[in-house]
Amino acid sequence: MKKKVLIVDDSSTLRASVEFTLSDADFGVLQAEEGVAALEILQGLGEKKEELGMIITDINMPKMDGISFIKEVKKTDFKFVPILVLTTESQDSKKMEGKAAGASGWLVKPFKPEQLLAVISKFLK
Amino acid sequence: MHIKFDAKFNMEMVTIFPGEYHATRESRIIATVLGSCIAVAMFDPVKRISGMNHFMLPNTVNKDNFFLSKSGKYGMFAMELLINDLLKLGGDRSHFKAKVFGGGSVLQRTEGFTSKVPENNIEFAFEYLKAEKIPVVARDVGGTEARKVFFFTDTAKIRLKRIAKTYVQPIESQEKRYLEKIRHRKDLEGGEVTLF
Repeated sequence: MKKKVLIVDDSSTLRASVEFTLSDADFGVLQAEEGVAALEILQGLGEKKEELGMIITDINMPKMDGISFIKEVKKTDFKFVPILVLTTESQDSKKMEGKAAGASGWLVKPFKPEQLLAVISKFLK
Repeated sequence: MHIKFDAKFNMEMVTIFPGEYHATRESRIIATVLGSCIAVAMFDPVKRISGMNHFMLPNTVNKDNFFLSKSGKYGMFAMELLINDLLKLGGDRSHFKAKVFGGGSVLQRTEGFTSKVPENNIEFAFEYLKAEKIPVVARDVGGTEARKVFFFTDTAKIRLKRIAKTYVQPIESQEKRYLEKIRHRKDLEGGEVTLF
């Protein structure tokens, strides 16, 4: 079964660039602009929920930021899905907030495609 | 970046250099001098939050590859740092408007430099803003002259001075150093990964 990855980022160019990297590696991609829309996508997955292998989220986004989004995901059936933060934020205090919220990893932008794929394959093993 | 009080405008003036950016909710002037580089002034007119960056792509990029290539990713990164600071200050992305400056054919004596380089930088800025649905409400790009841009953060107004060719040399050296730095920059190879 082809695993799906949900990308949550308010930048459409960033989503396009991640989608390009992932589709090259044969992952299905779902996209959301921010946390609230992403939670709706998760709810809408219904019986296909097993297909979601991973979530990649930004931190600074309108409506619901990345940290609050991670906390919300941890309250749902998707709590065991690994979450990778992909952001320009690089301070340790932010990273610790992400870790405490339940993120599995943190990748600072700009990202290199091979690097993103390496992290994803580690999580999807 | 350096900050000084500008007596003429009775306001604080923050000068940014290649690769830098600044965002604020205060009434300030953000100033920068552009040769072949690009500066995007971005603001949320409702919340009155403004910022400006100053960057260039490390290498020429085919238009179809703007958001996929390494050089394009550096440009996206420069834009995103500014946008993230505007968001952190409380800006609302749906209000954002942009003004675009620079991309003059100034870096003439740099190796591998053709008139395509500034054109490519200009094109990148417009394609990026289009893809991100941020309207461009003013522009002054291209040509052969360098520019000094003053961005008044409280009104989002711009004052632009053209710089005569005789004064261009220090601008050219500064941008050349910046270009060499970003061409060899390690973080272009990808940021740091932390697994928890």
